[in-house]
Amino acid sequence: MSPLAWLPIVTLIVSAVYVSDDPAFSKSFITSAITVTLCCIWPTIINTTVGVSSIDRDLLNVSRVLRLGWMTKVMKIVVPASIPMMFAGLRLSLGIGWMVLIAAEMLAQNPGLGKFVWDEFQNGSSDSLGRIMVAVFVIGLIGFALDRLMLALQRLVSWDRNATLR
Amino acid sequence: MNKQHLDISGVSMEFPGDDGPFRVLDNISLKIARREFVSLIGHSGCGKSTVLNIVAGLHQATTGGVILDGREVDQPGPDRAVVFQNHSLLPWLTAYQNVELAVKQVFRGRKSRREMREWIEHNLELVHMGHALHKRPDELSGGMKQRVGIARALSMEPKVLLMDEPFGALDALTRTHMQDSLMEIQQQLGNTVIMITHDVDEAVLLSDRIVMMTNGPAATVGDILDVKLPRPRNRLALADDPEYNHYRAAVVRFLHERHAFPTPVPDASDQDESRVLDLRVYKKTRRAAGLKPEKTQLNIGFIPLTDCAPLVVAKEQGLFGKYGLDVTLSRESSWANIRDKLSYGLLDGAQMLAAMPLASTAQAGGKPMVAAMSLDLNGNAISVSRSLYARLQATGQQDLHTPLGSARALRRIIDEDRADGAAPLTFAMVFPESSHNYLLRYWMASAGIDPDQDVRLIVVPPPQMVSHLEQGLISGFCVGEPWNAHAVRQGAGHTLITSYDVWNNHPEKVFGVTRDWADQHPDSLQALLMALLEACAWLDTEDHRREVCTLLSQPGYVDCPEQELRMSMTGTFQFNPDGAPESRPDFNVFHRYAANYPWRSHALWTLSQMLRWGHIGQTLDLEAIATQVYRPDLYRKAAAALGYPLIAIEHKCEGEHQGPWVLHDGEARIPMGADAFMDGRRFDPADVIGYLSGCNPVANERRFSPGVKA
Repeated sequence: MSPLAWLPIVTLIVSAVYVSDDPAFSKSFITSAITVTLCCIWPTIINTTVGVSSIDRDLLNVSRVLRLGWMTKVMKIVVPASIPMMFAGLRLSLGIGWMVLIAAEMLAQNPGLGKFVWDEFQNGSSDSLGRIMVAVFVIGLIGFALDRLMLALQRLVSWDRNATLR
Repeated sequence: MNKQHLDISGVSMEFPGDDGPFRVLDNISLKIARREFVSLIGHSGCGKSTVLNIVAGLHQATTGGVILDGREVDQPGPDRAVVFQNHSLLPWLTAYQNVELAVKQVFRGRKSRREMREWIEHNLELVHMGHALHKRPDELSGGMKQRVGIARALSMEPKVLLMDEPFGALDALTRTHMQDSLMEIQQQLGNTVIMITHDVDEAVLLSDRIVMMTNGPAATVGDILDVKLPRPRNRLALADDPEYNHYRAAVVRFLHERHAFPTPVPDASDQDESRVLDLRVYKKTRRAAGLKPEKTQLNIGFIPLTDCAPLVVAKEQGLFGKYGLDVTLSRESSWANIRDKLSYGLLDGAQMLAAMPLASTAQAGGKPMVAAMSLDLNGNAISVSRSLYARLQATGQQDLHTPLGSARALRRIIDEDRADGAAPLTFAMVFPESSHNYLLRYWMASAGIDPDQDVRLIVVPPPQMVSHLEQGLISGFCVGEPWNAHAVRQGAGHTLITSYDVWNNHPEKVFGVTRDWADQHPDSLQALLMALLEACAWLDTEDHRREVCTLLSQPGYVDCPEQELRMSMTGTFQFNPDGAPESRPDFNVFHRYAANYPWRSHALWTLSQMLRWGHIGQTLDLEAIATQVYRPDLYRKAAAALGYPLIAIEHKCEGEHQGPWVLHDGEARIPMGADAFMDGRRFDPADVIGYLSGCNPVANERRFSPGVKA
């Protein structure tokens, strides 16, 4: 599944369906959002599935003995137990999402850092290379900051104090 | 009160298997009254946990069912609270929250918020966890986690409390605390309890009834024991209580004797087999008290010989494991290899020739070593090639099968050869510092043969002896079994005499470690000694010898036909290919005659021979070396822990007893074997120089000369 192959299809559909005189979001924003979602959701889904299916049998037996309701079981046992795996997936997704977003901007000419880099490349003036380099660093820094942000969030919700998160 | 509180009737359980359904439980019926404490005991894998899970409703019985207070059990529920073996607390919740989860679920709508809080705290107080309400499981010790697990179960106010080996994962001290707590709680609350356990003491101490299960597959109730000890019970008071011990013995007997085997009670003919299995079962239940081996993963070297048996038995019977050791036996190709690997720490310990640790300690450049126990006595023989045997016969010497007769015949041949100008005969032994070498030399010197001048002596590793003899590279050798039997059966040679004939019950192999290792790992060493002592004691029961031959014949060990191994191990010896086996009951002595005791007089005799043949210098203090290497103190520690008889003296005069005798040492009366030398001489360990001065004169100037004062 090459993530960006979705881009033309999403663009076509959005252009045809999202018709409004006074749009709340621009078409390009919607296109980017859908493409990025389609591309980066899989690691989270797969990791969460694995996390849920590998819950300790004994903990599930506890819930059976207590006759916990479905909601209580999910909230008290299933979700906390799979949080480490879920976050591993979320961090992968975020990385992919950022990458896809930049590429989508370049390809679809949606306004943003990707378009800026591409424009400067096409422009070819004497300052272009410098601008491109600044943009590359900014893209890298934002990506790094996003990952740290997710890590901080993970630390906040993680119950396993023995696990070192990095 | 309802007498028939819980009724387990005709429960059978089958799991689908590859070849049809696999029956785990068969027709289990049990009626349990209210407030009764019942233990389920049985061997691992017999299906105890399955019974518990069926009562809990976590599993469904294939046939039969469980009725609790008149209602059939068909699903799990809080009225049958389970305490799991590994606590099963939710790790993301505190102790309080874990109990709260259960309390909220069970008492929703029945208790107010405040009542719930009080009830949670009350239950945690009950298990003495009031101080750690807001700690999470990862901040609690194993015992504390299990206490919270019990509090969670108790807080559900269950009709039946089900406990699946609740204290199995805890250390012994914590376990006793937990048992005491559980008794106290049971006294207060009077719950109905079904507990699974492996621990006989735990079962007797806590239960009103002990249900003993037979071994699976198709396990069922084997026997039920009513424990009518008055409550409250006190662990210390009960320790000496004859009634308690009677119950304890009944359970142990059930587990070990009657149902250790899938087959019914064994009859007399396979009794020896039953003893082996018994030992295997035994090891699981008993651990050496107070022994904390510093190192548990050990590499022990051995040479493929029948007398590596103590190591093999200790390994195969799980005796090493019993004392907390995980031992890998490493088959080595030569004694030199063993010495080097031990010196450089590649091996932790090894089977060694009795002279090796002495030599390594006494000689410059050697690593000081310690021999804390002897592994066996005797076990070698002197064999010659067919052609040499024919020549020996041709000398006309009559008593060719006595040590002196054969040595004299050899002397004549050597004299003949010298007259003809022929090259000297070549004899092989296994290592320079070995009983083989010294006894071979002793034998030769008794007829005036100078082993350094009149013959050529070379070293050949035991497994290669026979091929050397077959190829004519050597004319004779002194080696341990099965290599003499192998030569005789192959028709390559004749055995002249056994080493027993040269010196009755001479020291042979010891268990050696380096002195540094012994100092750094006192408990590991003691554990090793205990395991090996037990293995040796086991080996000297006649009917075990055949069995050990089966073990030894395996490729990893001696890798030799079982028949050849059996020959000497069962006390018979075949001297020539055409003859019948003769009885030599003391050919291998592993334990009797205080065989494992490291006699310092043995060490001194060996050292005297090293001195005699110039293997060590005359300036050495022999007694000091013997004291450093042979360590009866370490032996006594291990023997005392096993309850074996202890010996206080460390020397005895060798060569004094022609036949069996009894060693009187303090209280101990220990039957001993003969210790005579072939020439009837007496070795007084207090006067080594005097002894050597009386030996057959030897010429080489490198060697000991009586004129020079040591």
